[in-house]
Amino acid sequence: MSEGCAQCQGGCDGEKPSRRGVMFKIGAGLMGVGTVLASVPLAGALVAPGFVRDGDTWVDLGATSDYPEGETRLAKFTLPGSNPNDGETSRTAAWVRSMSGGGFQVFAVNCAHLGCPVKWFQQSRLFMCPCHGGVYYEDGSRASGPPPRGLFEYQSKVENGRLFIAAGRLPGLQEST
Amino acid sequence: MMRAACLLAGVALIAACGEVPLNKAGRDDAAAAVPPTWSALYATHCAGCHGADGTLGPARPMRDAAYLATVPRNRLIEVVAAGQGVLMPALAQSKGGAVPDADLVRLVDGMLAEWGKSGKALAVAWSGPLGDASRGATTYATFCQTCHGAADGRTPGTRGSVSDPNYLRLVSDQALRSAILFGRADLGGTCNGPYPGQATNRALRADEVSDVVAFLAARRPSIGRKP
Amino acid sequence: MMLRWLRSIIGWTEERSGAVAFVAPIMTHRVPRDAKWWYVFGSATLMFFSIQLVSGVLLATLYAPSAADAYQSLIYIDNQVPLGWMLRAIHGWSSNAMVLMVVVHMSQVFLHASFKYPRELTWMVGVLLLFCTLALAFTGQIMRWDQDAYWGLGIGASIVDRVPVIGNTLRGILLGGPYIGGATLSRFFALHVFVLPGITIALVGLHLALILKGGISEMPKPGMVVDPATYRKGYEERVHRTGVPFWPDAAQRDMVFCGLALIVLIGLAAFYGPFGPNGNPDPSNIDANPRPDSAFLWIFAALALLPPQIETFLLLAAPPVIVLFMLAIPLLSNRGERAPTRRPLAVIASLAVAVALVSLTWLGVSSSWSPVMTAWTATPAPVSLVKRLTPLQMQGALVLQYQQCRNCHAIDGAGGERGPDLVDVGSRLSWDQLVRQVQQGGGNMPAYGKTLSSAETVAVVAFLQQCRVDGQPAASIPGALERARTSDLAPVATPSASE
Repeated sequence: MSEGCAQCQGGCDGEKPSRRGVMFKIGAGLMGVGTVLASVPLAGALVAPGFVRDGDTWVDLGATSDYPEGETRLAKFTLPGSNPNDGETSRTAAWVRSMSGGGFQVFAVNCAHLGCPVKWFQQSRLFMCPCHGGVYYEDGSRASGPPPRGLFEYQSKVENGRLFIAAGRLPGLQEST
Repeated sequence: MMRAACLLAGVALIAACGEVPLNKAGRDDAAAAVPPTWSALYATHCAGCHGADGTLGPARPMRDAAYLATVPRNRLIEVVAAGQGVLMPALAQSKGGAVPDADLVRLVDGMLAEWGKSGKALAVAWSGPLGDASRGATTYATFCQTCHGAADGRTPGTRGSVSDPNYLRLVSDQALRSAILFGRADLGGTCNGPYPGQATNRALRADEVSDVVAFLAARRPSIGRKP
Repeated sequence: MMLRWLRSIIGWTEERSGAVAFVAPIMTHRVPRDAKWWYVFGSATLMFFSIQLVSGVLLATLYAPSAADAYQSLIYIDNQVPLGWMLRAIHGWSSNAMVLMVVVHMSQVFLHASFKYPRELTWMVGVLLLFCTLALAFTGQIMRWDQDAYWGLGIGASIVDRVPVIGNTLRGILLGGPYIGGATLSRFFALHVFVLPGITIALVGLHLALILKGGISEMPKPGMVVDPATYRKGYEERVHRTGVPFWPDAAQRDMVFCGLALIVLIGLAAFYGPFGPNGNPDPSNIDANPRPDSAFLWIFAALALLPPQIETFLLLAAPPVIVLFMLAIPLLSNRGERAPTRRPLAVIASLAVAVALVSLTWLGVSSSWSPVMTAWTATPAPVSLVKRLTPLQMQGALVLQYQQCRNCHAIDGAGGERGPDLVDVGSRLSWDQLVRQVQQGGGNMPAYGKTLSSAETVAVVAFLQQCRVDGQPAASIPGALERARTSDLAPVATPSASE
């Protein structure tokens, strides 16, 4: 195989070496262009999801009266932007804290350490994480354990007696503030 | 050699044709669909305070036939669902707890059926208004002081003070009443009477119970969170 | 008659393909006579990989690789498809067996220094195969598409998210979008079923070709030094003189071991059944208690134990450093002694790694840093304590349950293990120290000052102070002015005074 090629390069079919050199260069160039043309859409399709920068959408979490003042309750909702193909994973939850004296804080259930679902304990007024033991106070600030910061908080607003949060992405260290 | 291989293959085939792995009666998912039994619910949500077998926990024993026969079922369900006093949490999901309403009913009914079977209701009502505090002082001195010490804290009792202001801030009037009515037989307590060694070797009357509760309630400081 | 037929068919094929002429020398290539039981682990790894390929293809005929259906399709495979559960069990157990065999095989190669000249490339390809195996195991766990899979992906996404600047973009590429959903499963399905097996098959081929080229290494002997200038000649001479053909002399041991391993595997699969699936992949169900598969428990443990200050740095820097170091091992030392007795550093390093992996895995199983979420209502206060409590202390014991202290604190071994066991806390901390610890927290404990009323604090401290073993004295600071310890018997303030 390799011997055959070597012989051909030596000029076994009578073509002039310079002409073949040109042909080789043209071939290499065409292949190069073709490869670039093919790989841009292919690689693009692979990495495109990383560059989606859609803003979050307002989600209705129900009437504010559903959240007793001074208590923190779990609100379940369907992630905006999800599609039927996501199945159950499009369902999401958030911790809604209805503060005494008015106002809401809405926290992601995802621990700021590595994203496990934190659980609220009404009695000790703490959030605890089942994975690595992160603990947060009722205002979302870090109490103890490995989390580098407090709980992620959704942007929220109240309109016509209903509570809305801006959601649509998995909360993470570089996502929300 | 061939025969041994065939035999092995046969065994493997029989083993593999079983519906489920050899060490499992059924798949976990099938089991998850069955609602938990009342005893499983008790073990998960009550045993911490009320004791593993319904006695000898820091909170009132539930394996107490007289208690279960006296307190109405609806009241029990209400307390389990919404909590009571300072240290009984609300368990119902609608109150921020972890247990669905249907499970709560099954839990209470299970306790009533299992632990409340032979219970006879007390003659004294399980709840009632506060009585007279000054009369209660006398009753307290007669019936309670030997074990629980003088109300002013000067003489300690053998079983610890129930007039300590911090204790009183943590127990509701109803909890005091239940403690007097049903006692802690699991701990060797003799409430509600008869009281050995006392001049009056008898149980408290209904009015006396209300008076002692009123007496203790009056000693509860009104600072901090209310019970 | 039959035999003659067969022979003519083989002859016809052989004349055109040269298959026998190609394979025969490979099968009968000479291997060192002393290559005995130490050398069976590589073959066993390959066997388990073959099992994975076969059972994996069969599972692919049943599995629905869509986030909406995957979980239900597993339930269906387990309960409805004849022998479906066995298929999943074999695939799952064989995955664990393959990881185990890769690690054992690699340890043997490292301890015997078989990676030295001329087998450096064989080792490097082996390292890549190790990470392919681990990647297959991790993506395989994702295929279960249960709670563990979902939150395992969440942990992975959170780690990737910590990469400076481009972390968020990388996370999107990994998940196929801004959240964990259908696109995520499809991506990992493609990885698990097409990309990784393809790469692994290619690397296994390369690994085997390199083994044939370099020859099976001899058992190391002290004093028998590898010198690249003379090694190859010496090896070929020795193998030619004293070696035996791979088939059947060496292969028979492989067959014995692989056969036994296979029977054990089928037995485990039939007895213990498949892994998971554990709970619907419903992220709004926050009662999940995510745990990774056994091969990754040590990472799970390390993530809990890394010092928070340098956690991100270690999370991101350690994996590439580890991979590069493992790849570079034969470049750092490709000559010299091979015998473990002459390479104490290598032996100590292997032992250290083994001890670390085993203990981290053990810690991952017990995961003592995790709060026990139900302990406060499910773990009874010890009866022996309850029997001796005063009414106030009794309320303190209730406060301890009610405030979820037991989720992190055991009493006499029962309860969470995040904080210290409280069975003897009364002889370790004085009244004032207990009050301060409860109110202000610290030492990885949340502060309860805002949550507890003064009565609750007094009650719980009164309870904690009597938590002492066998009549040990209560802790006190000599000479310090302390509050009366028997406050429940002698109230500090009368009600009238406090009002």
